[in-house]
Amino acid sequence: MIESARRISARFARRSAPPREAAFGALFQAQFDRVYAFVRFRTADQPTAEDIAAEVFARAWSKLRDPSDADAAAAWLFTTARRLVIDHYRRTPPPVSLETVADSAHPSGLAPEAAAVASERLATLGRCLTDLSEREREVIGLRFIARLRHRQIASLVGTSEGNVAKILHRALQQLRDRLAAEGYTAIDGPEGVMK
Amino acid sequence: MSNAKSVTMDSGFEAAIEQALRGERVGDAEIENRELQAARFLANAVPDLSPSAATRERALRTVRERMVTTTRARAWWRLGPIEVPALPLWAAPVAVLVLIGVLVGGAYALPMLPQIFGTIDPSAVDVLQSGRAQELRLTQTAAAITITADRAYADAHRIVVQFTVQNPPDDPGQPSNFGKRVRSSLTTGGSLTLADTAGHVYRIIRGAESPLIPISAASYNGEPLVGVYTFDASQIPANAERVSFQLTIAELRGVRGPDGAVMHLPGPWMFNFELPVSR
Repeated sequence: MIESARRISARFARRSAPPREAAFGALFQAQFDRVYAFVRFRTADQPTAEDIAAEVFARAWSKLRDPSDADAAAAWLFTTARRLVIDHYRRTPPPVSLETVADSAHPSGLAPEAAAVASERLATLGRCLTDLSEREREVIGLRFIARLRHRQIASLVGTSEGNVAKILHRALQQLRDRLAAEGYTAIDGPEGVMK
Repeated sequence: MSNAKSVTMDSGFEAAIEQALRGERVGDAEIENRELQAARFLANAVPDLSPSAATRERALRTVRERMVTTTRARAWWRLGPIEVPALPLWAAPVAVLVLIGVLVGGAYALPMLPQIFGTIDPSAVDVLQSGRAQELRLTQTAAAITITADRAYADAHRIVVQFTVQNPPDDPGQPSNFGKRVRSSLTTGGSLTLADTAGHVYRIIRGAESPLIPISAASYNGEPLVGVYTFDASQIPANAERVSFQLTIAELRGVRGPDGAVMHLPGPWMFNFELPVSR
């Protein structure tokens, strides 16, 4: 008799709640997965990511002035997530890579074969990321996992849009070199690289 | 001129990444082939980092519990569909006096339900707050845990029951990532059965359980737990004016200890009561 979070959240947004609550429900629906994925990418630890992502939204409820302003809300959420990850690292030494993520069960309840592919992909990504600087890893996370635009990333990390593009260029080139060294070959098409 | 060219290249690069993220073919020459391949690899890894439904649900519950106790005072008083506006500061002493008067005057009929119930089951909260529910105040103790069946309501469509677990067992809790110890938040796990003397068993439609004074998952401190359940009343005979019910709570359970062992507190806690059927 426990409702799924999506249903509760959807009803939360639909019912005649005060506008701020409805906006917050919609914000949770729209952004939770991205915030969680970004934190998990940065912490490589599922329980920690869950704690931090929940904390981000709990703080958003009490501190975010206008949850209906999607751009401002996203910037606020990822700024807070970034700070909480940094705070977490101050207490706990950061993991070098995402390899530990691959050790845990895949979250999406995939079939065993698909879960194995996903785990292998994360493990590979984790190994490849070790070549990148902390700043490059963060920008990669904000661009690809959080899906923020260059302008938003520039504002978050305190640099110019041009510099964000440069960091991404450099990081992607290094990543590709490492992928090639791992034995991944390119195929043409949206499926990406396959082994 | 070179600046303008750089901006154009950057925007082309950004657009190319966006296409890669959407899983589209990228025809833009502003991104090198090897960058594109790496971008696609990253884009493919994104779903692997997504939260499970259980993760989303746990996070949502944590947020909801925090919402109830946030410093935005209005939230304390917003119980389901009824909303009492926040008082100005000068009215606080008056409000306290009124509250004391209400409590002394038998305010047991005014359930102070956490906001989460208003979100999960607003119609049940409406029934419980509107004074239509019958006060039960039946108490049962088993496994050293006392549960009170507070109030209940029945009509042709649903039966609503509210109960409180008065004294959750002492629990050392387990460490969380924020340096606090998290105690187990007990639950009945839906182990409720509602039957009547004619042998009908009523199906649970919806249920919610939460600490009576919910703080957050990271600071739950063994406060009383309250549960609100709604049962399908379709088995109540069409012409019945009153029905005798038996509510059984089979067990309480929670997770505790660093090994994550599930704590089971076997009951049963049983309550017999008769309700008028509102038409």
